[in-house]
Amino acid sequence: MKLDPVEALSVVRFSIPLAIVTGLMIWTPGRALAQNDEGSTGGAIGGAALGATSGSVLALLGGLGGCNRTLRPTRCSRITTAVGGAIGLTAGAVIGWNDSGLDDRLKGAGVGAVVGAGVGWGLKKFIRQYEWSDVATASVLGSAVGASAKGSALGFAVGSATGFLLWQLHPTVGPGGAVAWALAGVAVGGLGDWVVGAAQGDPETSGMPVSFSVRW
Amino acid sequence: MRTTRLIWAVGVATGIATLVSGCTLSHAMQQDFDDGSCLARYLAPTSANQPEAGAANLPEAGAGNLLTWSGPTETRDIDKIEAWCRTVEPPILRAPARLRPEDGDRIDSLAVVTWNTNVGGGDLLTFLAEEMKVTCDPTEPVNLTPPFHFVVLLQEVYRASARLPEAVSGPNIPVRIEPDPPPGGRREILDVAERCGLALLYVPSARNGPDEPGQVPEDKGNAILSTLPLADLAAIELPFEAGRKVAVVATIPGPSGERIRVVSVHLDVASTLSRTLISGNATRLRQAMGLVVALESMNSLATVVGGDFNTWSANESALKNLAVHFPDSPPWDGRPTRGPFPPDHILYRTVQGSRIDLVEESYRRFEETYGSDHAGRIVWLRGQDAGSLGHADEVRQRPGVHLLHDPATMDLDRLFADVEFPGDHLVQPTRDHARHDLVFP
Repeated sequence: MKLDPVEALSVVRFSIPLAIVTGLMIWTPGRALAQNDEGSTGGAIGGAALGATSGSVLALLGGLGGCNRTLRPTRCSRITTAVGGAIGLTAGAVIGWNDSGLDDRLKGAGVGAVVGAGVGWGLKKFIRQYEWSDVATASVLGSAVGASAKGSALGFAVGSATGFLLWQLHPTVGPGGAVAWALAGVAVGGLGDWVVGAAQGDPETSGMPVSFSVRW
Repeated sequence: MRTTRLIWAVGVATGIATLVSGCTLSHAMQQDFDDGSCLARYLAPTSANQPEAGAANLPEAGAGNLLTWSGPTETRDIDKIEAWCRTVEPPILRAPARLRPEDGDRIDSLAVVTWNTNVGGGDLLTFLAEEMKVTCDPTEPVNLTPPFHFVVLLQEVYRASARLPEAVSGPNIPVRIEPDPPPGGRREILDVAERCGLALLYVPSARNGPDEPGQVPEDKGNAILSTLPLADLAAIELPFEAGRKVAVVATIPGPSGERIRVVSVHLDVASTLSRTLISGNATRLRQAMGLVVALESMNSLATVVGGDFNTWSANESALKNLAVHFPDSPPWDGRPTRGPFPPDHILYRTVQGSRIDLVEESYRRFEETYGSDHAGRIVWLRGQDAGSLGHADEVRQRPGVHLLHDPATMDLDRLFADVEFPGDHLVQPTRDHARHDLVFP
């Protein structure tokens, strides 16, 4: 299979953060992360599943704008989705294994799914070409955001502000670029929420900002 | 335990990657539907194949070969397209009022325009009068003598007809677009073509809203309007995303005696949510590549594609990929054509041995929108031997807008072919179609 330079660069670009995060979660020696190991294998599996779903969907959403400026947007989206899924999976597994707020994330995902379905249903009523599959898609999007609500909201705010500012400063960014920044903000914030949750380990202290407990 | 986590991580990541990679949407195309579907009815040698109006004006187009149809190969696309196709009437073909066999030999330059008219909201008659210098008499028989030849690639033009099939509100019927009418009211595309004596190929793609009491049903789609006769007519059904889109294709006599292919295209502004995510937001790219595949199956000619690509930015994937296939396109001037968005573009691809040049510096946006929600764009094509008559560089830095002078002026058998005129002696109006009134930035 021939891999062109642009794709190769994309792979490298997305592999670096993936490697860092994976390394932090799995191979960091001792207790560099604030883990408590109070969860279970089931919790880890559940967390991994939720994290993988949320991470992949968030990354797919966040990459839509950026990937749509490449020659191969579909392939670009595959890469971002896989990277986001891997990050979410790993972080979710750690969170589940440590029982550090997985229940809250599941609740958030549930609420997000219901809200997303409601929005999707509204869109279906308004846009005639929308089908039930679009309602389901909106629900999945809602659950992905809901499982990482704080980070996604913060990311959206920062991304929107950045996008709007760039648009005003450089008109060539345009409204499309501003929307792309907002979506990217949701993805980065949401994935950051998962990573931070995993890094903190203790449900009592979960949330921004990151607080490491390093053993000497 | 770490090993277990690693296995899980790798396994699920692989699964997600596999899942996503399995969702590639094809843009493969096929030609000449003959399956008895709605599409095939245009090819069948029956009365249904005849154009709705202007049949007497048709240039040697026999039944059964008026239009070549191309379309996607995916079953889902075909099913959707057929359902939408059943809600509209057949295309309209019309020849220009003054079709002279020698016209093809007289063309040194050609203006190519693209404009989305917002389903009658754009005042096409005023646009033609102001920008193309064609006065379209609403009452008298047309005696068209345009100051220069042009082709206008139109999107969102419409036809009102009581003969349109019944259409109740549903997923195959888009919401009606009801723009504020321009002075003189909205005008159907056939009406404009007849009033102005222009050649027309109109291919509807969808209804403009469902049947409503007291309203004449309308369909809408793309069209080509030209001072020159259209030939090699084709319609390209683009891969179906959110709505049916049909690119309209024809060839016209171009500069230097070459035929050129002209294409009017309109891409979807957005697909459905699920398809947007599944395709990685490749909605317009898929349609654009479908167009490219269909065009490449046709014989090789210099090709101009103009249209509303519905791009949110000028560096979108669809445009980047189209630029690869249309490498001779003029660069975007950074100016939006719909609010802050840049959806409207003109692309160009030459062929080996062609003697037609696209004049890059002539590519620009019209400043007036004439009631539409889009501004149009124009570019000039010029024959490589056209400069000897003192064309583009000598005449206000623009190519030959003085092509069709009074016939007496033009019948000089190119006595001045080797003479350079530094001024604009040859471009003084011989009638009152004052070409020097053309506004160039």
